[in-house]
Parts: sequence; C-alpha cells; structure tokens
Amino acid sequence: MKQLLNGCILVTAVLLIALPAAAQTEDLYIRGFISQGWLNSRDVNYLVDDSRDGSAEFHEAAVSILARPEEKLRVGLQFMARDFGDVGNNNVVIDWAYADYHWRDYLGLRAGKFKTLQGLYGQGRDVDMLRPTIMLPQSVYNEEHRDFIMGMEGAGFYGNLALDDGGNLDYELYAGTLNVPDPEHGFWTEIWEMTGKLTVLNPMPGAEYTFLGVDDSEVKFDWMWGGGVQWHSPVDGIRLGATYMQAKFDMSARLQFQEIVDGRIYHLDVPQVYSGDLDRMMTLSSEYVRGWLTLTLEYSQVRLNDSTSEGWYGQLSWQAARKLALTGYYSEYFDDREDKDGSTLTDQGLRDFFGWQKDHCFAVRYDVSDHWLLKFEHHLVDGTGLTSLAKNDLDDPIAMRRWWQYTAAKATFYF
Amino acid sequence: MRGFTIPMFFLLTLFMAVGPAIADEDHPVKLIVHPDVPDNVCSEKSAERIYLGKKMRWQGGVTIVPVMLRDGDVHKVFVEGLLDRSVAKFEIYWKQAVFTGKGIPPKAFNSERELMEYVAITPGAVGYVSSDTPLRDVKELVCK
Repeated sequence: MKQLLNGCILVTAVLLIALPAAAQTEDLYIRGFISQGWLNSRDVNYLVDDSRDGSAEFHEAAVSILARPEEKLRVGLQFMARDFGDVGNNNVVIDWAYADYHWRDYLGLRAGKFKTLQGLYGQGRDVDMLRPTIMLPQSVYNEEHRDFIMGMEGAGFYGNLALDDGGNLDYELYAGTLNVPDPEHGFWTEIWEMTGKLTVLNPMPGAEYTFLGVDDSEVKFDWMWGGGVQWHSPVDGIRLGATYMQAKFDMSARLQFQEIVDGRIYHLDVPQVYSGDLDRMMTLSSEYVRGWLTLTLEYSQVRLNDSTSEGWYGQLSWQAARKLALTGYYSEYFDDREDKDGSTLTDQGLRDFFGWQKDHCFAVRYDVSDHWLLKFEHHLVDGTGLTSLAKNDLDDPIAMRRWWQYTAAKATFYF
Repeated sequence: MRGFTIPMFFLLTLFMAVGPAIADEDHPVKLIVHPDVPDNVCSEKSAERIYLGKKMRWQGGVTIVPVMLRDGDVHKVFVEGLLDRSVAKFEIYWKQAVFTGKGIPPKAFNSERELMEYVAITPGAVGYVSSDTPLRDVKELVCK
C-alpha cells in the first residue's frame, strides 16, 4: 500500500507539473494507462505465486510525457508501476527516459534509457491495449526474460530506408548496459531458488537438507548490444522482421539451508556466483494483415551459456466487429532444443514434460470505448517448460501434472 | 491437438487470402498541403510513410507536419484506403510509439474546416479532406 501511495503521489506530481506546460505548447504530449488483471491457474502455479488460488497481483500503470523542444529533437520519459506476483510491487520506476535526434529519415540517434527490441511486440509488452491477448505467447515472449528487453541504458541509432518498389526497411542498433530494477525478485532469484530446491532433492549421503531461501541477490551487467530490422514489403499487409541481442552479466547470492546430519541441525550459508553469457536472443517474425484478419508467425532462440532454448507460435486474430476481436494462438517452447523429448531431464530424476510447454490459447477483446477495454482468455497447456519450479512444490503430484490450464481476465483504462 | 491446430491455421490463412479488403473506394479523399510545399504529387507509399512518422522532409528539406481528423468517415476512408490498415491498427501503431517514446502522433482535428485552416497557416503541413470539399488557402497534393 505504501508503494502504491508513493506511486500515486509521484504520478500526480508529474501531472501537476506537466499539465500547465501542456497548455503552453502543443508539442507536449501526455498519455497514461492503468491495467488490472486476474490470473487463475489449475494444478500448476504459473507466473505468480499461488496463482492456483487466483491472483489479482497483476497490475500496471504508467504515465508517458513526450515533448519536441526543437524540430528534430524529441525528449520523453515514462513513469511506470507494476505488480506481477512478487515482482514490481507497485514501486514507481523510470521505465524509459531518453533524447532522440531524428536527423534524417534514414538516421536518428538516441541516448538515455530506452526499450530494446524483441520480435514484433516485445517493446510494448507492458502496454495491454497494444495487443489482442492478455499474455503474449510465452514461447517467444518469455516473461522470465522480461528484464533483458526492458529499459537498457546507453545509445543507439535507427532509421527508415525507402526501397522504391521494394517497400521500406526500419533498422535499429544499440549498445549499453542494463540496470536490473529488482534483483531480489522474479527471474533473478528464481534461478537461485531452483538451485536450492534441486540441491535438496539430491543430498549428500547421510544428510537431510531443507532449503530456507535466498539472501543478497545481486545482478550486474557488463554490457549488452543488439538491434533489429523490419521490412515492410510492397505487398500490402506483409512485414518481416528479425531482432538480435547479446549480453554479459554476473549474478551472486547466498543460499540458506538447514542441514541435519546424525540428528544434529546445522545452518548452512552457501555463497553462489554465476557468470551469464547471453550469446544470443534472436527472434524472426512475420505478419500478414488483410482486412480484419491478422496472421502472425514468430520464432525465437535464446542461447544462455551452454544451453539453447527455442520456441515459436502462430496466431490468428479476427476483428469480428469494431469493438470485438477474437484471437487464437498455438505456441511451442523447448527448454533445450537438443532434447525436445526431455530425456536428459528423465535421466536426472525429473519429469520429461519439464522440458517443453505447448500452449493453446483462445482470447476475446472487447473495446468498451476509446478509453477502456476488457479481455478474457483461456489456455490449455501441455508441459511445464516455462513454469518456474521455484513457484511449485516438486513433491506435489498435482503441481507436476503434464496437462493443465489457466485463465486470465484484464481491464485497461487509458487516456 | 497439434494435428488440429496447424491445419486450422492454413485454412484460416486461405480465408484471409480470399476475404474482403476494407478500403472504401466509393468515398475518396484528397491530400492537401500548405501552399509553399514544393511537392505536387506523392505516391501512396510516401503518404503512408509520412503518416507513420517515417518520412520527415519535403523536397528542399522543409519539415513535414502531418495532421489528421480525429474520427469520422473521411478519416476511416483515408486510413483504410490510403494507409492500407484499419483505424484500430493505425491507433495501436501510434499508441505503441507513444508508450515506448518512439514518436508523437499527428495532431488531430474535429472538423475538416479546422484542419484546413491549420494546414493553410503551417509551413510543411499536410492533411486530408473529402474529395468534394472546396479548397481554401491550401493546395492539393495529388496522390498516385
């Protein structure tokens, strides 16, 4: 509640400062949104803790301010508060803040904190109104990797090239570093929690362990760079794209265990370090829009240290009426592209379906007016490859079912 | 389940290929520009790049200032016919630009009269009106 109050005060202050200025210049542009969702899974806890009980910790709010103080210069920033399970907790952060000098059509420069690229929809993943579904297909837009593609600090250049009869081409390149906003939660601590849980499953002979938790989780990025191209073909409605990213980072934490040996209880404090080499985060994209229908196909591959995951999805969206959109997608993810049947996991005493996740989604979007919308969707899922073991009890047979389902609903208000 | 899903995508893609386009050719619009704009013609693809914020300069280097109608039939015909996308897709394009900091949408007007007055006094401005609207203090940009 305190964070929410701080956020409201900050956003109100920003508006009080900005609105009089907006009256002075037509070039100041202010927009915002608030989204509130609800997530309920059956059998498996997914994305947020205790989603099996239903969770309303699924909230986003943002205010964007953009200005054009000179003809070619644009500056802007966005304040954002987010709550997604134990991630975000409605702390207000500067989501992006940068200056953009658009020198020519084919060359512009950016500096500051800005969003990186992933696929067609990665940049707008926090903005619910931009897409027909609540959840982007997780095989490509893995929520666990969200921090990699949001708000890097550095510089980049971009442009658009007219290709005469060949359509036109957008490109962008950037380099800098990433300041992880909350290394104590989400992806960054779940890695350690999974390490702790798997350690307990494989104790030293004669010892019994209980995993107590993670302390002092830290993340430091040495560098990251990436870019993308998007070709808008001369055939109306077809666009093709590719994005790529590399990064190097170091993580550290201390894992806490209770150890029982010969009836005696010990407390173990185990320091951990991990050097992450994100060799590639690559996405290939295609989209075909015709009339009220949009077909999207995307493929993604992520190589982190020696492990390569891959995923793809196909999505069809039909704008059935001016206010109503119906969407379905099928999405496949494999945690290890060299082990799609999960045999390596079976050898480790785990279940084979931990290695994949295949999601069938059906979604409805209803735009009530120009300022708010409602969404509802249901997912039928095979496998738990994208499901954090940290959120589920490995000894719980229900949580480890191969086929499971989840439902999401969301309302978004914007101006 | 997968055996059902993949054929379903191909069938629906086929449906898209034979489905109706949404442009309304019976109610054309015309582009108008400030009288000092040196260009007299532009291609549909150039118009699309202008209204997506990708083409910034007229011949001679004057900055392009695109403006649009807030809603209505003329706006719908312009977006669907000339920009080859639904009004909803066009709005989403600019919302994404705003919420990622990558652009500011064209200034919007409630009426053709207000839009034409703005184009007439703003160097580099470009807008659109219904083809039967008489022009005043602006010139037509022929779109081919």
